[in-house]
Amino acid sequence: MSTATRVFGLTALAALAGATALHVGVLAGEQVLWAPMVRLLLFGWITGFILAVSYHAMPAFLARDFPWPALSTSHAVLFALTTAAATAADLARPTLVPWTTGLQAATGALFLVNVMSLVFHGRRRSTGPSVTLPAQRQVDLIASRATSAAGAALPVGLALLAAAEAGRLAPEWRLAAVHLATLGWVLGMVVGVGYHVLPRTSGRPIRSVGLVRLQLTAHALAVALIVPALGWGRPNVFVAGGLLMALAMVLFAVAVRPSLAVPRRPDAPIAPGSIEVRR
Amino acid sequence: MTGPSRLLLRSAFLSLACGLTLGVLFTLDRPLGAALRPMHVELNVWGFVTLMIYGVGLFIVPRFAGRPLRRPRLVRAVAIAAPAGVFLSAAGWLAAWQRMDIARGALLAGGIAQAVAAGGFIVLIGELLLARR
Repeated sequence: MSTATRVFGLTALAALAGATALHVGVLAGEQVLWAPMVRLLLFGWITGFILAVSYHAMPAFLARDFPWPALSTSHAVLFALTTAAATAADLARPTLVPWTTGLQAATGALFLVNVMSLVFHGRRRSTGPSVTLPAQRQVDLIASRATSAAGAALPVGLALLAAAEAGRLAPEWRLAAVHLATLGWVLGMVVGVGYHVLPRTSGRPIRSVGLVRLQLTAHALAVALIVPALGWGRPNVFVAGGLLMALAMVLFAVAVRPSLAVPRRPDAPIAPGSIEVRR
Repeated sequence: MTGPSRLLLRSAFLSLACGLTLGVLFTLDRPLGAALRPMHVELNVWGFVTLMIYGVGLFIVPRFAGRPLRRPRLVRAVAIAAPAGVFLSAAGWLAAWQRMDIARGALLAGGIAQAVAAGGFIVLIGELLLARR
């Protein structure tokens, strides 16, 4: 496990602890804690864990190593620092929130930089990812495109949020930005990583490649409709986007349902090689 | 995939189904969306996404680390407490919207259950991340 993975993972766990504490406060009636809770939940806990898994799994699925590990470690350290700064600003210095959100957006862009460096400059590994399931290679390819698009949604969503918080955009764009981060980044990565990981862990293939393509297309179109509709106040467009997103999630559940059944083979051993454990 | 992970993933998809239904209702009734936004966040973010992360994480992180999880009873506790907490809290938000007396109790009970689950997950995964290579 690389240093970057550990740092992302530990930051995510710390954010989970903080978000949980704020959550209990919200549930006890302290509504002033709502916004800090949502931020730490989305951009601390969930984003941190997604990045931890991605930085470990991407080299395995692409059969390449990061060319500049220091860049990955830098991203992890900056992520920890900006998450802490944003939480502190939310709770103690609200006037600084647009700045800390902007810093989080800039840090989020480092994920794309690292992914591009892996894809275009990464050192090829001698062995490729273990693929024994039918059509899984095609699913991996389609899912990788989806996770790349999802990776772009994080810095864009945070940049929109920073602009709305600084008063550069109408207040409606705050909700639009949070939905871009949730539906584009978080849900996009959950779906993309799900298509990579769930079949491998269960030994059962995805239902069909065509279904995966349809689901990801519906997902992308839904995000493209919902976000501007929320920002520019277009209720009819929002309805269409919402229904399309509901369809996309139903299709995802249908596609991965076989993976949730009792595994066909015993669980992969906890040892290097079950899911490409390196370093 | 282990039993607790499958339970967490199935709970995640059940939460998604409830959250999606709510989302579709919101598209048809915007004021309902404003009133039940906390329930929407509870089901979709603390529910679907977090339960999905718990389920996948408890299976995949030990394999990344090359070490098994050390506390099987804690794993089972997380798999039960997390979904129970999400659905209790969601019911609490619904009860609060209807101004029912049980709302506060349900919200707090759900929050405590989720906090127990989060604490368990932090211990289980933290041990793996902090273990020496």
